[in-house]
Amino acid sequence: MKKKFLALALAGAMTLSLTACGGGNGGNASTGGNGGGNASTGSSAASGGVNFPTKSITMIIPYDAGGGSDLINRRACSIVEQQTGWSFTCTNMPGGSGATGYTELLNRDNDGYTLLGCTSTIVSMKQMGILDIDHNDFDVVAGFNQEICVLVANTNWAEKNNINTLSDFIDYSKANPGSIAIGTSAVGGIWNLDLLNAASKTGCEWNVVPNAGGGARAVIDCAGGSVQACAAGAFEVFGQVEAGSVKVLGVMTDERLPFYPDAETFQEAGFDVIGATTRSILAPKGTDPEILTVLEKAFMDATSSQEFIDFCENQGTSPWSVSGQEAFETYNMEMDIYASVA
Amino acid sequence: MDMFVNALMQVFSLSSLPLLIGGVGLGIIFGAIPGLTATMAVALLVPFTYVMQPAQGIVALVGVYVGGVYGGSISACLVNIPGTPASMLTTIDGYPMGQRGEAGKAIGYATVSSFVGGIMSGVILIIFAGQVAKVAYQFGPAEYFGIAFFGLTLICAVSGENLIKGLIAAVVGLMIECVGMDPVTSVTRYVFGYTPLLSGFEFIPVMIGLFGMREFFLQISTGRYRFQVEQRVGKILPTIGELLKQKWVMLRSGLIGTLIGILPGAGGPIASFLSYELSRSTSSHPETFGTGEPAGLCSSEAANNGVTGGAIIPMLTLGIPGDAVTAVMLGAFMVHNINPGPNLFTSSPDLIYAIYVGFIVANVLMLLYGLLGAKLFAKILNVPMGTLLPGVAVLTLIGGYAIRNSLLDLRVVVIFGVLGYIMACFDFPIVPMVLGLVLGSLCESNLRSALTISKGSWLYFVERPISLVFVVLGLVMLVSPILRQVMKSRTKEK
Repeated sequence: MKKKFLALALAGAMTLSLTACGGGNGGNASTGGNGGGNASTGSSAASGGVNFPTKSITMIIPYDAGGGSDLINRRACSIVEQQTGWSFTCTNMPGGSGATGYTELLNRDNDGYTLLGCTSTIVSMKQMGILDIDHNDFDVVAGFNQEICVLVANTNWAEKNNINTLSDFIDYSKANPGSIAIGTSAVGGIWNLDLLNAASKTGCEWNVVPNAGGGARAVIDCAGGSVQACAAGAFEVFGQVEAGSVKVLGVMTDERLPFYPDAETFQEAGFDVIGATTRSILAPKGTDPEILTVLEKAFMDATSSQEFIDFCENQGTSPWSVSGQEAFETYNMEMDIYASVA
Repeated sequence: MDMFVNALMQVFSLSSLPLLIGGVGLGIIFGAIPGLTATMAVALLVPFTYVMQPAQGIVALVGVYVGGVYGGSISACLVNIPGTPASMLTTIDGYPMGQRGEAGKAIGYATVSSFVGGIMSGVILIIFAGQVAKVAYQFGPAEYFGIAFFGLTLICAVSGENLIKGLIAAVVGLMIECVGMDPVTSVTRYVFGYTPLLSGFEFIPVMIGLFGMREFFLQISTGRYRFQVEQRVGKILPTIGELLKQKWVMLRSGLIGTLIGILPGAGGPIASFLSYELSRSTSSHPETFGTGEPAGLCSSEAANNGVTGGAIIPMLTLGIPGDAVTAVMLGAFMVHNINPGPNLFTSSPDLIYAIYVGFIVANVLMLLYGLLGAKLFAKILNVPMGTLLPGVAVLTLIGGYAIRNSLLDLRVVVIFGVLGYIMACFDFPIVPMVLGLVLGSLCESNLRSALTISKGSWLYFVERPISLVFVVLGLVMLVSPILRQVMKSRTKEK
């Protein structure tokens, strides 16, 4: 009997420990959905200022736990928490390059208690005909980070062919059309679209190799020499650049990146190529403008803090603290770029 | 040497050791519960490491990782449900042993072989990290395709008695893999406008449906839960002599696991599958595999724990994660503003040594937990199945949901449970199907990337030596049974 009890207790303990973990991870997904809507609209009608937030805000992260988007979203939320005393519940809903989370947000109440940290796939998915929604279907709260697309080349290959700068690379590409294989993310991925844009602006003919593992895998193939070059996020190539197995030739932004000071921008080489994935906070469409203002200020204060800037730069990604309107316009610009190459 | 002593003191300090002990224990619990994986445990714990010293935090995560991979074997042996994908092959021989009343013995074998595999990979990590890490660079799309192709040709080997049914199951697995956005061109396949399906079926809900839910349906429909398997309680662990018999199997499988671990993207299920198959085909009594053969159990478990040390190698030396868990761990390094890569060895050697020592200690702790706990774990089976199974079923569903907080995944668990049940009724094996699913995506995406690089030329796979070896091995596997049959019929004619 005693033994049976022990066994039962053990099984019970396992169940308990699980529900504790499950609760922390999954159970919160539904909080912040219903019930909050009336309270906030009521208070805004009564007075000029809104009483927001009165409870925890749910932040949907449409990517896997532990990835770049996850870490940076969580860090932004935690700085907002420190500065304002609010509380956030971060929930990962990965799938379909963000599509699962975007569709989920569409169905949530627009009371300001459910937000989502998106990337530029919010624009590209519609351009690719995969998803029927884009940034116009949401309210953009604030922009907080850009991860710049960079072009790297295998170090040995570059040295053998005397390629030291972006201009050298472009000259070589034009002299040998179609001979350079450039690894990048899957078709329709941001790096893939940015690379196609670079190809059309520079007039180079490259063998674009989509990789199912995204930029992070493509850069390893480049380091190993299966492909000669790779277009991926500045953060994704960081380790291999440090290792010396690949070298950064060009960055798709208007200023040189502090962590790759030697790499030219495409503009310096004479081509108007801009490419990045832009991370912003989205709220469901029709959120009270006053609530949006409160949220926007909180996020802009947090993302302009030194702590956030240091966090980003240490990871090889660019801090970017802008208003919802500016982020929205950036998405419009990206939409034009993607439409031209998709 | 000073570094080493410092690291020892660091790991055995009062602030670190309890974290490591707790980490391994937590990992084992997460691993043992189907659907909750080592990846999830590490991801949940990363935020807690913000407040710790880098070495403390990362060593604790290493402990969770080691414990998590091992923990999967416990539920595999006890209830025929792999706690983690890498323990899938452990069910084949672990569960029949438990059903013979030797659950304690099965867990003992799993513990010791996990330990051997883990230590083996730890030794390779410590001595050869710099040299073997370069292997990761040698594997481009062509080489990964080679491995996946070779793996697919081996599927017939785990098909059980009926080859045709095994192959059908594998093809069903390959077809299920096709659902969702094409991994290379992003064209949607079999999605029918249903957004949650865009990224296809999440692997873990499919797996726990096929193994876990199927088991519940089977137990209920056959009334098997009413019969209690009396567990031998006395001397339940395997004897030293029995363990020594498996030493070569364990060492070889640990080595295979380590090598597969170094390759980013291959991972535990493939490692345990390859070493299981190698042990079976080289065994003098292959027919005992699948009926509770210790060698089968040991090769699967030594291999999947071998992956742990292997996967840490490219993470530390090149900044490339070897599997999903090390990818999350990489994030933990970033949080502490540490960039793994060759410079790590000069910039923070203290951290490297702490990880080395922590990894070995974590494996020793895992061994202690396992050997001391085996008796206790085995007693779980003394709980009447009618009481135990509903509990495990609830855990399975929670696990399926928690993967990505998706209700779709709950449906997936149940639907694949029904599919698994139907397959079981008609004697279709499950393992080939899951392997089809795992290898299919590896095979497809790398084939396409490789063909893009070569501009459509298939010669690319022959020109690169490593892929050539795997492709030839695969072809030999495909052709050899036919040749053997032809030879047989010829000798008969004479």
